[in-house]
Amino acid sequence: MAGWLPRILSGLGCVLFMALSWAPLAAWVAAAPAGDVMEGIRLAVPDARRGQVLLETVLYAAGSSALAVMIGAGGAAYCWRCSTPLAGGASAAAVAALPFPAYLHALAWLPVFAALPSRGAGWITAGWVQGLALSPMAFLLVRTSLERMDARWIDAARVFGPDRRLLARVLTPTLGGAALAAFSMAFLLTAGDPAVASLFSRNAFAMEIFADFSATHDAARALWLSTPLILVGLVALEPLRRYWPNIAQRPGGNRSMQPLAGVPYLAAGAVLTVLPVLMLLVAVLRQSWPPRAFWAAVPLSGRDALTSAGSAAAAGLIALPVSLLAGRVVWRASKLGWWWMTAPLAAPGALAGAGLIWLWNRELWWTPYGTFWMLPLAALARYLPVGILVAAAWRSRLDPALLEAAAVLGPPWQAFVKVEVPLAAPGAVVGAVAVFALALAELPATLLISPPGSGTLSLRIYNYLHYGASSSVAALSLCLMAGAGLAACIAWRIWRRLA
Amino acid sequence: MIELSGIRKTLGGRRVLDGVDLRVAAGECVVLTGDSGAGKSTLLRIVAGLEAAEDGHVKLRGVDVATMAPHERRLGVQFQESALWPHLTLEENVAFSGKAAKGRALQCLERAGLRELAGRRPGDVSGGEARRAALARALAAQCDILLLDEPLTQLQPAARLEMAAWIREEQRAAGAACLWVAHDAEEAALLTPRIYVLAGGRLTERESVER
Amino acid sequence: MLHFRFSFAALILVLAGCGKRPVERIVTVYVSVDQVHAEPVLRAFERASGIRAKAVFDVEAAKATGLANRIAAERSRPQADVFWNSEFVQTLRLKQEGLLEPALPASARGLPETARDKDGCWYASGARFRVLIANTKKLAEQERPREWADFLAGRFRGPDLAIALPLFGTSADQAAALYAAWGPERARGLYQKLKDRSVRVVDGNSVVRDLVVQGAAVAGWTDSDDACGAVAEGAAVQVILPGQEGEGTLEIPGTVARVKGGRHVEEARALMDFLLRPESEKMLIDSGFYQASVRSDGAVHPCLGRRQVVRLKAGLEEISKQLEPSRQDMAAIFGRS
Repeated sequence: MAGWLPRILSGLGCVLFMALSWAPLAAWVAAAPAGDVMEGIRLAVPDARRGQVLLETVLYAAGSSALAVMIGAGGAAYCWRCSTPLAGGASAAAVAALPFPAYLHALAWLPVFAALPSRGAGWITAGWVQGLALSPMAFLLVRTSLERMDARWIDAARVFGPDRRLLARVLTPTLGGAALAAFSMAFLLTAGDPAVASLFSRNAFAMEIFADFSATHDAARALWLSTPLILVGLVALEPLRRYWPNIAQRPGGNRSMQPLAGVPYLAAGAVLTVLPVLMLLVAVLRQSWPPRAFWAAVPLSGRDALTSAGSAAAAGLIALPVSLLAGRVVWRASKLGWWWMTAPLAAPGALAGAGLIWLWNRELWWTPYGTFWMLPLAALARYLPVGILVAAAWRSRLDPALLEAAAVLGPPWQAFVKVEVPLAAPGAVVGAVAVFALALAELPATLLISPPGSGTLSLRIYNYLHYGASSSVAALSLCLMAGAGLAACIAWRIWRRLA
Repeated sequence: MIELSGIRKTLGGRRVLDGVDLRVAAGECVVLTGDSGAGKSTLLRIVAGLEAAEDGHVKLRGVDVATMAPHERRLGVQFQESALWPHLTLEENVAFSGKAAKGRALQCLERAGLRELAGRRPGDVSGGEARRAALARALAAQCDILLLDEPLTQLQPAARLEMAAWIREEQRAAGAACLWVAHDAEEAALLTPRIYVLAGGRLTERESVER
Repeated sequence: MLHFRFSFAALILVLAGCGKRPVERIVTVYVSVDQVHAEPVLRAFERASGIRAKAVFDVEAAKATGLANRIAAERSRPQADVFWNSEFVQTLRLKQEGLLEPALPASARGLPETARDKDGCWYASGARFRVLIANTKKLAEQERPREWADFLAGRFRGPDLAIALPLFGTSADQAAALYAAWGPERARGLYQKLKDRSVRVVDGNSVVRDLVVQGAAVAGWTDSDDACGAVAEGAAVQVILPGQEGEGTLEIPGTVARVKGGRHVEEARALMDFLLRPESEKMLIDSGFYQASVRSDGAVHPCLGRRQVVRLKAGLEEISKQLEPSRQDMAAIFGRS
């Protein structure tokens, strides 16, 4: 498949990826030597207090990710080839709720936890909310992985043993890799985002970085402070690297089989997939009543909604070609190449935002600093690797014979333009929609870079949640849920239709 | 036209091709048979340039093609699993390989009994129809080298005879060298006097069978 | 699929079209008054003046410090025209760094001397106070603290009392104010003893309020807006103004300033004029963000339980000067970098 066109375009995709995802981080590296190295090392090694914050953050991220995977994997296995109303509801809920930011779920659970002696403050309550919020992602990753399972394996296990043995000996080993990849992704998204923890009055390590940068605007300092969290993130990337191919493998056949729905644990997973969405809907509808409060809040934030939709759409549109082209490289990348493509996921959101400020707040003939474009740039710096991973996963599901046939029967440019691009495009579209949905909810970087007059819906909701203005929050949340849920449903439809 | 010498290939720690030599002249058809996993398809893929041999040479039209990209080898190839592109219609699939194929696409589909289905996508036709479309794609460009990997499987007996006759017709018209992988001797017997068996990584000629 | 592509493209075109507007008058304002309180005032300004106010709001974790640092970081290419700060320390800091520009909005003329910078770089509007908050179920009337130093009284266990870490925000301002009013030695002694008594040190004033509301702490130091908010929600707490029989309590006035190099000079003046009007100040007192007017005849929010508040005598400049020395002491006492 040699040929200059695909090579040049792939190279261009990689350059764009570097500029969008790595440049803000590279800027920090450039800034670091400006400071005192000894002071930097002192900051990088956490003292007793920061050590404790780091430990609590890691436990919080690990606990909520484990919860997300247990719920998501159970629910996905329950729903696999099952046509009960619960299965239908759980699948729909997982797709629609995939892009709901975790702090929205806080809206539903804070009133519930208010009855507790602590009024909900604490790591466990924060972890519960974060875990529920991430469970749809685990659900869909495991669900996708299930497609590669040959139904004959399940049939055979059913013949030779009870369902719990099927669960322990067939399902868990088969889905374990996908579950670990989902855990890894959930961990990275949690460790880099302090929003939910702060709503439950807990200080996550990423918040330390954010607060320190806000207090000092010192580039090198924030990079040094981030070092322990980045290292933890890089460790967490390893299961993702190792097990992402489990999700990406080609479907294993379409034989009919009896669904797995009879196992109680799996049914619990399905129930817990539906429950948070129902709770959120009830909370939002109840709190936005009477409608007067709703209609008062919506126009106030119309500009924010437009900014959110516009910046997320811009991020998605830019992510589309980059995912398509760079995904071509990741698909075949070595271990090192894979790390290179995904490492930005290990950086906390505040660091990406601060890197963009360092990079662009300077005298140039034109700079995006202070303009709308900082928002999509921040989203891309954080989430472009997700778009590329999705696009790469899609590519690896393609039948290699299709690409080989094109390579034999026509020139490379034609094979690329007429076969490879159309076949790989749906993956890139889904990846771009994933970037869109994540961008819609992005917070830690937006907190730092939001340009004047271009606040986003997520920023407003987050601020309002601190003030406890519930009817306004509910109204805005409903808008965000509608936008994000719609995007997720479109993406899933494309994936299912074309897979 | 096709000249293989000393081809070696190891897959999964097992030597599947161990010094394979083979010559197929213009206008000649050679059938490869052998058990599953014997390396027949691998040999075909090496000729097509989709896999590299660990050792040995592939010459096409008298030229060593080691550095030549697959499409530069100008081959008519039918893949074992059809490999029709799902987003293109049958006609677009058949016309893919260039001007020559484009001009003959409908004609070939007609000959394959698929004229009415030309506008359909592979997902909307049966397995046998997809197989015939894949054969039409392989023959459309009238290449002087044909690589056919079990082209008649999944076809009804009548269709098998019909397609085998078509292949012979096209091959003779183009004076093509044809390397045909067949799973069983019965399929092989449909059209060729030269049959080779691949076993233990080596190629041995079987007694000629007169049709 | 094709249909989807067209819809997507159409959406983007619509969004792109949104970016093109006729030339409009704008003013960029960095706001550390809570968004939910500040926005109605800004909308009222937009309606009255026809000028669009492009705002950047602070967030809970960074507050005014984050915005002031952003202004400092943007000194070579100023983005903000006006800094509308809910406190005074960061405004004074920006003035010291030469990042503010004198202005004289018409409505500033009615302000008392204490509520304006002598060089005209900033003006005050609306005020909060540092207060004590006590849980009325946990503490009987006579047991409740009345003064800052009551937290050292033997009737309290240290862990039953809560303060916010005095390194950031208004709790840092309070430490600086006590340094200015009492002298560094006495003030440092108070904080050292609080530390020695294992008083709970938490990450924000709202956390202090929550702990007292829940009964996890019996009393704490917080801001009057947090404490009055809890009272408004019906929590069993009392807001106590310390020093009312003697030296007074720290008043935290909100400040409005023009950022040096801001591009929209006329618009900035118009916004400052609007924000400094008594009506705007009253809007924020009514909404519960401020608890008093900075004007000598101004209103005091009923939740404070008195019509006049005795203010600490130390001037804002003096307090501001003590900020860094007190911060260093607090960092040493409470073990933060």
